[in-house]
Amino acid sequence: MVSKNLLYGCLLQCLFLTTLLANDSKAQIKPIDETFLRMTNKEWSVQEVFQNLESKTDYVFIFPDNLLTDRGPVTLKAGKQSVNDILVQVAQSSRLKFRQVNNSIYVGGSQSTNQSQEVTIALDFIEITGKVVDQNGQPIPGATVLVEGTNTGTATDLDGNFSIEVAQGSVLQFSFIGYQSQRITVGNQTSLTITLTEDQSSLEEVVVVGYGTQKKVNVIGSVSQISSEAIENRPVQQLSQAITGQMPGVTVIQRSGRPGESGGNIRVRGVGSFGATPNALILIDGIPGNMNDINPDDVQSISVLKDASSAAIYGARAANGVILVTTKSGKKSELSVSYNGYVGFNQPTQLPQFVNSWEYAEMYNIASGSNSYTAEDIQKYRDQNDPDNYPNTKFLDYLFSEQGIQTGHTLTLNGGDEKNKYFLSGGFLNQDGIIAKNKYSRYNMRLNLENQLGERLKLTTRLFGSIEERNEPQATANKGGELEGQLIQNAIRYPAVYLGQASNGDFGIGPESGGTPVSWLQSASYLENPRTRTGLNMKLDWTPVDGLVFSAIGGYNSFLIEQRSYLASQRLNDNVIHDQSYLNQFSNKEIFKTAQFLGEYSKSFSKNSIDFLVGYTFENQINTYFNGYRQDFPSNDYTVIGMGGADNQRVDGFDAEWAIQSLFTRLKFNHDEKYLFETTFRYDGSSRFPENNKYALFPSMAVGWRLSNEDFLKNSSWLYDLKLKASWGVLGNQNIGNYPYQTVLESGRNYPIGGSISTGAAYSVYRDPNIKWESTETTDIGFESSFLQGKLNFNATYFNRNTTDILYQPTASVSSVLGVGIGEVNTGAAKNTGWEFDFGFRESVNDFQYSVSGNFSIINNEIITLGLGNVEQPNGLVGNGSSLFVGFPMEMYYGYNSDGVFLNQEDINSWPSQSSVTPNPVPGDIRYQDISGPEGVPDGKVDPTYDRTFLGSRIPKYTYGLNLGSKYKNFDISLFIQGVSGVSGLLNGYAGLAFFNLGNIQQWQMDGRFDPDSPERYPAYPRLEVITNSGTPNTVASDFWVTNASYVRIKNMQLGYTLPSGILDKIGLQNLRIYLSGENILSLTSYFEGWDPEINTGGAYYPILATYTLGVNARF
Amino acid sequence: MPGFNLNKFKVKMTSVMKNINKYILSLFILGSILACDEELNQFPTDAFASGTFWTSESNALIALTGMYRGNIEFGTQVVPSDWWTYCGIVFLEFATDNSYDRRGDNSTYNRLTDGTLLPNNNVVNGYWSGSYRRVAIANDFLENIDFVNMPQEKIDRMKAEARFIRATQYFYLSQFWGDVPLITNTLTPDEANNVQKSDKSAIVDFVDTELKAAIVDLPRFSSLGGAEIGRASKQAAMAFLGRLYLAEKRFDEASAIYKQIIDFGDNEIAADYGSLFTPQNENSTENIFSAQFVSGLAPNALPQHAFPAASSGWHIVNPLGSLAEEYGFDDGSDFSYDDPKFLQSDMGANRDQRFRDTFIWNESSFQGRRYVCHPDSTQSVDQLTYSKQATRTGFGLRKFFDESFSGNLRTDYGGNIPIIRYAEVLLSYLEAELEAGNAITQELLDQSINQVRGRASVSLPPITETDPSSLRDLLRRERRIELAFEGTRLWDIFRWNIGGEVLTGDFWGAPFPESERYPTTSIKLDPKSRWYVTSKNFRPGQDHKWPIPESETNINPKLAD
Repeated sequence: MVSKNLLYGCLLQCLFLTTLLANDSKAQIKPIDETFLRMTNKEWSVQEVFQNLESKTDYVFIFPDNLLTDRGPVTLKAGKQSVNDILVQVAQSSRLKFRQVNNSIYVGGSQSTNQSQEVTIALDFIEITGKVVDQNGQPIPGATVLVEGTNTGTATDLDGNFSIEVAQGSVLQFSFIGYQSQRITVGNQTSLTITLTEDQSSLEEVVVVGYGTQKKVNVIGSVSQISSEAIENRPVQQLSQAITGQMPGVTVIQRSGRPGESGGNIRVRGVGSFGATPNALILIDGIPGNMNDINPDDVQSISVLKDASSAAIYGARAANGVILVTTKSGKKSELSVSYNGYVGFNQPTQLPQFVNSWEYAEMYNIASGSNSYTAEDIQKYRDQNDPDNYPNTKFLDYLFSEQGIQTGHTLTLNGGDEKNKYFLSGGFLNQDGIIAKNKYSRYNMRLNLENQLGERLKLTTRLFGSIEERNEPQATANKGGELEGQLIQNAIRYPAVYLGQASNGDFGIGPESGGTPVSWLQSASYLENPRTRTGLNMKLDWTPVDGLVFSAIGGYNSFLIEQRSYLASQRLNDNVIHDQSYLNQFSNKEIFKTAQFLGEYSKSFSKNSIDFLVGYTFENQINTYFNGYRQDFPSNDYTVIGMGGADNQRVDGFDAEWAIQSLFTRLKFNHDEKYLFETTFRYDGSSRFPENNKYALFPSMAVGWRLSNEDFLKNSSWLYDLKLKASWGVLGNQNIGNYPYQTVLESGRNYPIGGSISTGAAYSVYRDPNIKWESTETTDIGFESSFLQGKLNFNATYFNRNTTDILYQPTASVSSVLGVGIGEVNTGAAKNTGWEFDFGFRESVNDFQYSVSGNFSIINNEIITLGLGNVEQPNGLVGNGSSLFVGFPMEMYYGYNSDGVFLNQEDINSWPSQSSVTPNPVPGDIRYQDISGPEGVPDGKVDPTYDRTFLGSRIPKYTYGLNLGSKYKNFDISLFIQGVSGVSGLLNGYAGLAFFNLGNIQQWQMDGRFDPDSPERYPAYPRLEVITNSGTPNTVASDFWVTNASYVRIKNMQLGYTLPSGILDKIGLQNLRIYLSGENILSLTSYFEGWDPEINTGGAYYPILATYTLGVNARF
Repeated sequence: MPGFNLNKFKVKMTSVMKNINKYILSLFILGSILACDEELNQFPTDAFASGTFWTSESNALIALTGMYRGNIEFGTQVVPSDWWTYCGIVFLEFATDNSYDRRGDNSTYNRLTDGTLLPNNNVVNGYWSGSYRRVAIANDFLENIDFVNMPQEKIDRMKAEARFIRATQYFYLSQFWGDVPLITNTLTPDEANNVQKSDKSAIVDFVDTELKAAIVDLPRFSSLGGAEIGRASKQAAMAFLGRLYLAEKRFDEASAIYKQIIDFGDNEIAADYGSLFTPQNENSTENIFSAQFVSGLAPNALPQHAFPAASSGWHIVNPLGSLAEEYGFDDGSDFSYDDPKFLQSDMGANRDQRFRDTFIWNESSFQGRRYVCHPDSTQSVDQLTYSKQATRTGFGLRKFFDESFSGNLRTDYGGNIPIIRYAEVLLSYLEAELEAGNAITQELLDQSINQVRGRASVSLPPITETDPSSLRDLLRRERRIELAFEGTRLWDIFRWNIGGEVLTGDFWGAPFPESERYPTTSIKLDPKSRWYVTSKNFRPGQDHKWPIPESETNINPKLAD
């Protein structure tokens, strides 16, 4: 495992700074037994000897003033002799003893007559050999080893080894760029292994920015970076899960735990648009890609460009942030082989509890106001003597009964020499779902090569591939549908009164006669979803003169998604045999190509440093989609498409393509690393915009001032670094369909004419032929600070993002009198403002190291205007009347404020009439508040026009994370806590409502229901009623249902043990760490009982998973 | 950097700059060679660009097909997307005394007429947006069809079809909402958000004018070729015009237009009732205009929704006793539970054949399986309860189903659903004559209602009643029976203004006098031991007109009342 600092440190140190730092062995003091000189054979006073030696050698003698009084003269041998010999003679005759510390020779007196002791002065010098490694045990070449208080020192070799002779008791200082330096007092040991820990706040830290890297202290934009360390050994299935809570301003919401589909939604600094998808642009080694296809073990660093100045270099698509994933590279070292692996299991963080069959029957009678289940029936359910006829089937528990074994392995080979470096990794992940037949596997391969082709020509090649496959059970053909929509949703929906499987093996036919999750799971239906991604990207750097680099980059990615879904026939029992079967198969091929040309010139002169970059990029992607359908397979043993029946076979397909080309330039300037300036222009053209608006210019600039480099603060003992920064820029967003402006007739509007299907097309979508780029103007002000020699740091940033010309399909804002759908139009504006804070502290006391770091963000999301759809509602709100209102956040809930439920008829009579919401209210119905009326004050009735209001938003207002880590001797422990608050959530349909569409009832709904016999004002659930799929007056949006979805969770906890080197040597390993890790261990939330707060669903969902693993990191 | 020679630097810098210029230049040259401007012009491959589409007759036919499709979606629906889907036609009867929605009282269809209709009713919204969807497609068609290079008479016919389709939508809008926006050209979103309502009379006038114009250029039903099944004929447009006149109480005009259809002689009553609604005889000349479906590619998913549970359906359509009791005995006598011809063990015995073609009942056979819905049959999936996904009335739907069908219930059934049948024309003709106050002759009765009753498979004795008031009752009952589940009952209730009578009070299902469970399970009890289904409380004067959807008035407050 290579850490980012090591890599960049290496780069910097090896290429630029070696001569400055190398306190090389030439400068070492020669040992006193190797320093020879000639002394005349005469009687010397001790004083004279010392003066003579001082003048002829580098040694100085240090002794108390009165030491030499009363010491007799010394007669030295004649001829060439070593200093050692001379001192031995002095010691023997004058009863003095010497102790050399570097070039100083301390002289002490002795009363002892045992002279042999006095002559051992040179033995105080011991040769120390050792090795400097990083936290992962990787050698650090080029690290400085310095004897404190002297210029004596050395540097480690390629394997991190060093050797130095020092006096006992002296202090060695080990340092390397990007790492905290470490002091070791030399004792008896002769062999040392020094582990340097990364110094997050180090002034030398380097971060990845657009088209390059930059010293962190010189970065003016808002860039958050995490290193491999932060994601290591996290048993996440998808990389996006690993960054949750790690960086301020970066919100990741994971809505599903479905294996292979559990990636989170990444939002940088809020939600920038209610139209075009507000996704961050994700670049993997500079090429757009999908975060979730990467093996997290291959990641060197993830850098998020949040503000305009840092992201502007990616202009057109950067409005919602840019995430730069950098994969690991080879290092100049001997072959190093390492292996990381783990095995563990998954379980849902939360599972809803459904009632028993007899309870369901009782409750259903109440809800339906009927006696559908007789007392006798209910007793039979309760007795469970006749489970075939009176079952108690817990469908959800049955479905989610698997252990979800997960295992991951990565083998890495890494090495190289001055000219050629390589990094090769192979990874394998297998995750079994918590449902039978459900699994996800992924194979990753990556080869990163760096070849110095000539003195001025360097080739970087990155080759990667991944094969993923998702396997899921499916329902049978009669039922249709897939895992979440059928199996899980119906496991939630079907009450326990329905039979799963009878004692004779027959299946229950379920409430819809189509079987149940129990039968479907045992059917021959299956889904296979293999995805193959391969990519090659090559970069050729030519350095015609120092400081000038031209680069040409070519990238080619191919992505093939295939899916085969076979829905089987199945016999449920002798009477019900579902003999339909069908197969749906598709493939989508995506070919992405890019060509990029860069020129960069960097120069330092006097105290100034400039860097100028120009570039051109072209990107193009072509999708080819094809699908086929056949039905009526001869049996479930023949499930390839060619075996399907002849009737109703169908094929379909299309191509889609987009292209974008861009010119950009960036100028960076700093004076003395004190005054920093940067400006960027990007000119983008996209195939998604019409001729007249195809191109747009995106400018940005930023300034920074490092106060800590000013004279008045330079020598401050407490302040290590302080930088003020500000940036401004305009960025674009084009995350919309490929053909948003072309007016077309939608194809596929086929209809039977003449008794057989005819091709049809129709005007279906209104399109604006003049659409243009959505743009976001971002202003950013902040500071970065660091104290106590960099041990403590604290950063704060304020940002203001204004998005205008939002590319929105204002469906809900356009009257259906228009008669067609609406494509993107530039309408509306939104604002995200907020604060981001992060801090870190790291300390080590002897063997005990600990660190604390955290981040906190506040995001205020607000709609400025909807443009089209700015309808002034009678209640004064301006918006589309349903989901978007000026002055409120997006993704909001709009509905009634409630005040409990009606207790009785008098209560209903005395309450403002709510007949336009609840035509015939009865006790136990939700009591809605009359908050306004035509006069702006409550008008005595509750109606949709005046009494609905803002109830909350799904966008978290506050997000935070806290990382605690500590290490003691060979043990390490880390705890990562993450949370969001100021966020609302809602469950609806089968998940949120009892007896929804003949659905089930959850324990909390039964326990918390309104009971007319003991009426309660604020029950957890209103009166029970049978609810259709169109809802009831009690299910309209209200704060009765919209619930606080805030949570704090222990996202990850790890306990590790590194084997001591003695044992390692015996088993031939360089490093071995064993750890226990848990992901999503514990959540604190007030959300609906049984549901993870990130889940908003009607029942078609997959639980968020907690993962517990035992893992090992080994290096050979 | 101590000792740095600035002059030397300048010299170096200049030469570097020269080089840089050279490099930048070459970079840009390289760039422009590779600049792929033409790649930035992309057009969809899976849609027709409007600019180049309206050129050929074959393309015009593609657009015409798309226009007939309208907003029909194939597959199951819970809310109608179009008047002419199974959901739009058959489910509309949930709001009447014919049928009950298994989803219960909270069904938004049921709420149309049970006294709890609100402007956020999603069924109302579905019909509303479905109508304007068809209007927009027709408007676009009419704005472009003249550009197509094809014989004028073909253009004229297609225009007439577009105007017919558009007029039918305004017919529905005028009948259910009254005052609505009249849109006759394609709109921009801004225009759409600022439309005003037109008076119902203006809408009616528009429908009148448009249908008349369409009738001129539409072909006669008899001249529709086999390849044109499903397209509109003169008769289809005339029948809609007849509906308009009936509703507007312009009975003379109604009578005249219906007479014209009859006089064309292109259409006749089919011998068999049941097969009119199945693929077997769906192309009978009796079916003047039908929603078209074919297996697989354009399926009708009604089987999924309405089949009994034993056939893996969702049993959503539950005929009410109120309708069932309208069907007399096969000798023409009125129905009564007390009549010995009524058999509890086989409710279909001795009944009007149309009862047997329309319903399934306890112990009848459907798809060759016994249909068991007795309340005591606890082990039957179709047991009559308030809890199972099965009947709520003791009846199920047979009409529209080919019982030999065995494919996928959602995707494989291709049966058409009639929109206008000749039987309706005949019954409406009689109604027009009757309400116009014209003398009722036996000849008129034989020409109209008795044709319908007398079809071979039904063979009920002819009506001889000529007293207008008595005949009105007979005619209305005949119409209800004949057109059951074909989506006209609610409109009839509205225009006859009988909602206050027929849509209030308790509704019952089939009787189960011997049932053990009935006395404890049925929510209300009835002397005849009929299963209690629901109660309605239609608000005359309020519920006969649908509210403009809340989502529309939210956007355009001008549409609010």
